[in-house]
Amino acid sequence: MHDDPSSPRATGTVNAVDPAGRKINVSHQPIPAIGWPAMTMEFAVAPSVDLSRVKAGSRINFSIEKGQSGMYQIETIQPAAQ
Amino acid sequence: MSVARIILAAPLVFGLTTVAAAQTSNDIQVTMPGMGTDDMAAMDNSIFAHAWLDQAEGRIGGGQNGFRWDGQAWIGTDYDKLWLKSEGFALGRGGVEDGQHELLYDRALTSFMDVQAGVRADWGSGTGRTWAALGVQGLAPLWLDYEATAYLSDGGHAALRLAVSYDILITQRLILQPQIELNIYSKADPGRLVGAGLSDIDTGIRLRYEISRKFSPYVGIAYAGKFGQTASMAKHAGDSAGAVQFVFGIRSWF
Amino acid sequence: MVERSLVLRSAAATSRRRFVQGLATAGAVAAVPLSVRQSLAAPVYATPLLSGQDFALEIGPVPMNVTGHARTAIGINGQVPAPILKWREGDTVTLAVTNRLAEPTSIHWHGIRTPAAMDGVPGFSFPGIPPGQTFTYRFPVHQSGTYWYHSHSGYQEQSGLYGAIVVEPCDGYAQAFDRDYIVLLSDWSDEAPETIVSNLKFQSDYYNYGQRTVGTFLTDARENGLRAAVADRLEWGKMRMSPTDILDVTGATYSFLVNGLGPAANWTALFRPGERVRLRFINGSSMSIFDVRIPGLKLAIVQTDGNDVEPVTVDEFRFGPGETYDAIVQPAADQAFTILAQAMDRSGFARGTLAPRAGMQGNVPPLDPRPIRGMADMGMSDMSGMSMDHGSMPGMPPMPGMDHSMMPGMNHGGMSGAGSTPKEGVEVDNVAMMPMDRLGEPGTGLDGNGRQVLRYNDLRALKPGSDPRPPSREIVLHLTGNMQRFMWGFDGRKYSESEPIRLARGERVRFVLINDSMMEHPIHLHGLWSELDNGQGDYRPYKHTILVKPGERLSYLVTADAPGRWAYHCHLLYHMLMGMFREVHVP
Repeated sequence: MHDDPSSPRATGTVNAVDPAGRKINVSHQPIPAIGWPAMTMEFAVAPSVDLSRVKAGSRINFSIEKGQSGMYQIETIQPAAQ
Repeated sequence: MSVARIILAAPLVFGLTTVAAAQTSNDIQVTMPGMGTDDMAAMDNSIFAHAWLDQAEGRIGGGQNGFRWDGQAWIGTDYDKLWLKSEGFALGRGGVEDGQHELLYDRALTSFMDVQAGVRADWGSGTGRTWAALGVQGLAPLWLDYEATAYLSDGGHAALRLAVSYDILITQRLILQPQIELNIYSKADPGRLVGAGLSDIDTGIRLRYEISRKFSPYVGIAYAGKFGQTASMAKHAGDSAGAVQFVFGIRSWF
Repeated sequence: MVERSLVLRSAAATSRRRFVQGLATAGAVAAVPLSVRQSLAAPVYATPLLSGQDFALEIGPVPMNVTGHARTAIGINGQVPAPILKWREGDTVTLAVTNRLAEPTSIHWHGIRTPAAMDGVPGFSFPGIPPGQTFTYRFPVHQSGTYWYHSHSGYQEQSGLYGAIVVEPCDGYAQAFDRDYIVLLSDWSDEAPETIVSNLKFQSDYYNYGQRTVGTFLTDARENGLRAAVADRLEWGKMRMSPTDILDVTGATYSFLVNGLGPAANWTALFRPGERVRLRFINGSSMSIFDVRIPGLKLAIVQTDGNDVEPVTVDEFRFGPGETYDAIVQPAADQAFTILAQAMDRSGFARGTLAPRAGMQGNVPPLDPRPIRGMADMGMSDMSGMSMDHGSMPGMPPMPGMDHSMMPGMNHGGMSGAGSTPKEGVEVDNVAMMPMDRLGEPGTGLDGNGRQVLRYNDLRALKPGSDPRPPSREIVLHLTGNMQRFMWGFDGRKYSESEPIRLARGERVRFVLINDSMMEHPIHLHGLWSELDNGQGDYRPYKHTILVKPGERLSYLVTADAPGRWAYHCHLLYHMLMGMFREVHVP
């Protein structure tokens, strides 16, 4: 699991998981490191991330990095305090 | 003497009150937009007012603990302003030293410089002194903030005050500011413990953190030094001629 | 074409509530399109639409909560943005505007050519609308397209008094589409506008949190060498200018809104995959230049400032306050797309969603890097063309130092009319020594981003201009300002220090604008069309608002075919109010 300590980190609530498309829809808190306010949006998820434990409604801590497309993708997911 | 002080105090108090009132009434701007027909012309010649304290600090060290302030205020339009300056040192043991207050008319002269003319009153320890003042204030190339003012007293003394400061941005909010201010007099003035020539320097380096643009706590090191005749007079009076001091304070404006 | 006139009836409408930014909802916030060929089931939460020929608009205070802090905005019929007005070309519209504020107000119909008395500029058109009074605007509409309306009194535009106008063409659309939406971008601050200006008057870089620091110096020294980094700092320092000056007011105080909603609230529009969707982008902000794109979708630009152009396909466009662009997109995939409008300095962004179903959101791209001004922005063109080198000095012909007292030989003086090169002074902190044609550039911060960005010389009108005459004279105006003092004007003078620009009725003139300042200015002329000289000859585009780049020289043709006292000004609200305003008088 690629966990670069310098990757921006965020907290949010999962709204939906698309395991086939490797995407999740998250309502996240502000991410000041990248100048983002709170938003509800979709993220691509890196191939190395195990999505089987991620369910709609769970609160997660996650880190993001720019992928090849130039868009952010989620590199790591950990459960957060509910 | 006390009557003269009241007369001199009046414009100072009036000026500060106006500034404070302008602040509390409606966000500084005195001219109301939208009144009457051609309000666009009024808008671009609006009156604004601001006041700021560059230094409001405790000074510790050299046996001269006390509180120093250095602030200014102005009210006016783009070209014409009424400008106030006040600085001084309130000693821990009581009394005010080096209190200097100015009331000036300020006129924008060039892109980055204003010319100022008015009066200065020195209070505090020793005899009071009043002066006519004429000088410039602005921003020099390489972002140096400066003031240079010449004074002439009714007693025929001439004086010059120079002040320069510079902001070094360490981060967007952490700013290191070296500054220096010096006073030069043409004649000795024993009543105010001031000698001829370069009389005193107040210089320091302050590190401030801008919690907001208008409110920044800071710490720093300052050196208040007296030279030449002024130094001898000070020693004679039992004061030190110079001290390095630790300072901590708040820089603020509105 | 099926029209649906939307009247907001839901319970939430009467006291318009804003989504608090912190409560990012997973549920849908979906707009109803203006014109729908096939209806889509969609929850109703959108700017209401009023159509017809008679309108009653009530201007008054409206509670507003964008950031979680309650504020009071100024809106119309309880709405911010004000209701969308839908007119038909050829109709005469009557709008009774009632002022429920404690101060005078006005409404200007931006881009609509009305009789002078209906143009809504206090002091020029009429005295304004006093508190408690009703003024009835009435005028025929002889044009079609996307426009907008806003207050022309004081700072009210910043406080929320803005809305969209759509005028349906009487003879149909040049390009077909299946549904259309208004995308009205704006900026909102919890601070009072008067405070913002007062702050800028004391500290002009008050809102700039992207300044050069010790850290950026070290980075530049590492990348370009110590000598180059020092030389660069000295160059800018001697001029007392900062290459990080992009926008005067930034995301440090602004939230950027799409149809009144911030990124968290996420204005959403629905489409059926394969449909052609027309997005009517309006920059209704006070001080913000936006760079707009929809990752994954190409934008076919078909109209600007209400006037049709030959479709030009781009990934991204920039526009300044006042401008409009209509773009047709054709989302084929069954996925959500993000409508992204970055503030030019990347201090924030507005965000909306285009989705096939409610409850879907797209990925949001990272913010682009903050741009840095180059020598071309200072009006000192480097012969190598693009000048957006970060830090290093571009190859320049030997310049005679920064001797601004020299008369710049490159200045194209006018044959007649005002326009001698202003001298540096209280109101002028810079004079562009070599202003140049920059219509072929997308703008600072958009070069080399790997995307196809719209440029002004891409815009070609669908039909040739209606007045084939060449201009009989030139009027040269310099756009000037003093950043430190936050003073702005034309030819080194504020409005209060100037005379009207007088045109003869019916004459055809060329306005030449030379931007001596280091910032972009969207220059808006009321009442008369500005036909931009952009290399398209007789097919030059008709605009009402033209974003002039720093150090740029451009020109446009104007036919003085409508009598009146026409306001002519920078549409950056605080520039306009601090002096960058003129009267253009046509008898």
